[in-house]
Amino acid sequence: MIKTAFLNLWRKKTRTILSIAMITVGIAAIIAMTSLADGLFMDIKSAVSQIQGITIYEKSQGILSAKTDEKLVDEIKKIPGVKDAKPLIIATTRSIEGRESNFGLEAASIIRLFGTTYKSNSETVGGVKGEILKGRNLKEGERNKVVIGKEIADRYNKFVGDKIRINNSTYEIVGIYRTGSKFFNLGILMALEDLRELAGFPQGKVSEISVELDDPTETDRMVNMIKFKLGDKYRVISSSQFAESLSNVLDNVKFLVMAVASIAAIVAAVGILNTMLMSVMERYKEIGVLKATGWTNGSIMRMVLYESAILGILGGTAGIILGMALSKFVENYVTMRVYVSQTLLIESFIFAIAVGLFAGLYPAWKASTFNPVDALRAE
Amino acid sequence: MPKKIIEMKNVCKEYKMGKVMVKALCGISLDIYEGDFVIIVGPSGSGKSTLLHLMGALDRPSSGKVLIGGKDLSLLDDWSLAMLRRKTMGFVFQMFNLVPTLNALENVMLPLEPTGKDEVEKIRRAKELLKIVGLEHRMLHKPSELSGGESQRVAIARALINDPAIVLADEPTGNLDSKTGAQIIDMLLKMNKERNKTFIIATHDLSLLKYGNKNIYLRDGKIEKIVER
Repeated sequence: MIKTAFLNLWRKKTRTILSIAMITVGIAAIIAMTSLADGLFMDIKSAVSQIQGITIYEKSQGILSAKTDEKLVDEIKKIPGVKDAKPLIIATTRSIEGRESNFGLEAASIIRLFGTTYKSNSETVGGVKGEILKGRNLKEGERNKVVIGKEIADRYNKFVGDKIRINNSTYEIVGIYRTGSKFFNLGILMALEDLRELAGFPQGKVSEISVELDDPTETDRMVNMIKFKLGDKYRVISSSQFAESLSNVLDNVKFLVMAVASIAAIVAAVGILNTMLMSVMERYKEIGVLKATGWTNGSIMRMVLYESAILGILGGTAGIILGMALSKFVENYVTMRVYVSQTLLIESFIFAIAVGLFAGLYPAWKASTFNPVDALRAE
Repeated sequence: MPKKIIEMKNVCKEYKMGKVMVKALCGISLDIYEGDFVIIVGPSGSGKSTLLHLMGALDRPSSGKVLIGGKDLSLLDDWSLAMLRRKTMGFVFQMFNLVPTLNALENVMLPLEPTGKDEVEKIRRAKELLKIVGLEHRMLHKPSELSGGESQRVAIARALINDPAIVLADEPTGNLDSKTGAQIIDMLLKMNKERNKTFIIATHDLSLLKYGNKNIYLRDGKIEKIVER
C-alpha cells in the first residue's frame, strides 16, 4: 500500500513537490533558527560562566550604560577577602579602519571595547578568562596600544605590530587574544584612559568594578559583605547570579523561536491539508472503485494517511538538509556560533511526520466516508 | 438443485436527488442461483445500476430484504459490507476504472492490497489471471498503453483476484466495438461454464440477451418480466 501511496502522490508532481517544499521550508527555518539560538545561548552561557568573581555597578542604570564612581575601587580593596578590584569601562563601536563594520547580523557587527588598568597579571579580558594567542597582554600604564580579539584579527587581517584605527584614533596592536566565546572574541582591549578618551566617558567614572576574591568558594558570602559595606546605591552580583538572570532572558528568546516555528508548522499543515483534500476529491470515483473491490473505510483512510505521512517524511528530510546547510552558511559568513543538536534533528523530523499525519487526518476521513454508489455514478 | 446466492424480497430503493426523493427501484423480488448467467436490460434510468449495486452489496435497500449468501444486507455495517464484497464480489465497469499510475499486474492485485496475503502469492495469482485473459505479454503496461479491450480484460482479471462467487458487470461492452465486446462476453461465458461463477451483467445491448440463462427486463424501476431459458 505504501508503493501505491507513493504512486498516487506522483500523479501531480508539481503539486506534491510544492507541498513538500512547504514542509521543507518550515523545518529548515526551525532548524536554522533553533540552532542559531542554541549556539548563541551556549556562547553567551560559556562566556558568562567565565566571568570571574563579582561585578559592581551603580543601580538605576543598565550594565552597559552604568557610570560608577572610580574611587570605589580603593574602598572595595580594603574589604577583607578581596584580592583585587579593577575599574572597567565597556563601550562599543562599529567604526574600524574608517569603515562601518557589517557582518550580516546586527548583533554580530557590534565590536566591544574593554578598557581597564592592568595591575594584576592574570590574563583576563573584560573580566572574562582568556589566553593570549600571539604577542603579549597590555602592561600597566601603557598607552595607545591594544590587544585585539581573534575575530577582529581574522576579519581585518591584522597581525601583531600592525596599526588599527578605531573611530578616529589609531592604535598599535601588541597582542591577539582568544576566549571561549565568539561574543567576547569580537572585542578590543585597551588602557582604561585610552577608552575613556575614545568613548568620551566622564572623568572619575567607570562602567563597573570587577572584584577578584582570595577564595572563590566564598562568593555568596562576599556578595553580601560588599553589599553591606557599600550600601543600597550599588548592585553587587556574582557571575552565577548573572548567569541566572541571563538564562531567563534566553528562555524568552527560545519561546519566541518556538512561536515562529509553530507558525511555520501551521502554514505547512494547511498546505498539506489543501493538497490532500484536492487529491482525494480528484480520486472520488477511483476510491469508489476501491470500495467496490472490498477496501474498507479503514483501508482507504490508511492509504491517504500514508500519502500525507510520505509528504512529511520527504519534507522533513529535505528540511533537515536545507536547515543544516543554512546554519553552516550562517556559521561561516556571519560570526555566529551555531549548534545543531541531534535532539533538534530528531525532533524536527518527528515533527514533520506529525504535521503530515495531522494534516492528512481530515482528508483521510473524508475519503473514507465517500459513498461508493455515488462515487461510481460520478463522471 | 443449485444453491440460491442472491434473494431479493419486495425490495425498494429510493435516494435523494437534490431535494426530491427519487424511487429508483420498487417491488423487486427475484432469486439468483449459483452458476447463473444473468442479463439485466432496460432503458436508461430504469434502475439497472441500482439493482446491480444492491446485488453487489454496495448499497442497502430502503425497504424489503436483500439476502446474499443468506446474509441480510440491512443488518450489516459498512465494514461487514466491505468484507462481503471482498470475499464474494467482483466488479467490472463500463469505463474499466483502472488506476492510471499502476501497471496491469498492480491493477489486478489492487483488491488484495489491504489484505494481509503473502506478496508472492498475490503476484502468482495475478499473473495466472492475466494469462487466463490473454494478457501475459502486457502485464507491465500502464492503462494508457492498453487498448479498450485489453483494459477491460485487466478489469476482469481484477474482478476475479478474490476468487469471488459473483461477478457483476455494468455495461462491460459499452465502451468497446462489437467485435471486442463479443470477445469479452465469450470470456465471461467461458468462466461461467468452467468455474461455475455467477455473472450478472447490466446492459443496454439487447444482443446480449441470447447469452443469459436468466434475463431480467426492467422498466421504470420495476421488473417487467423475467425470462428463464
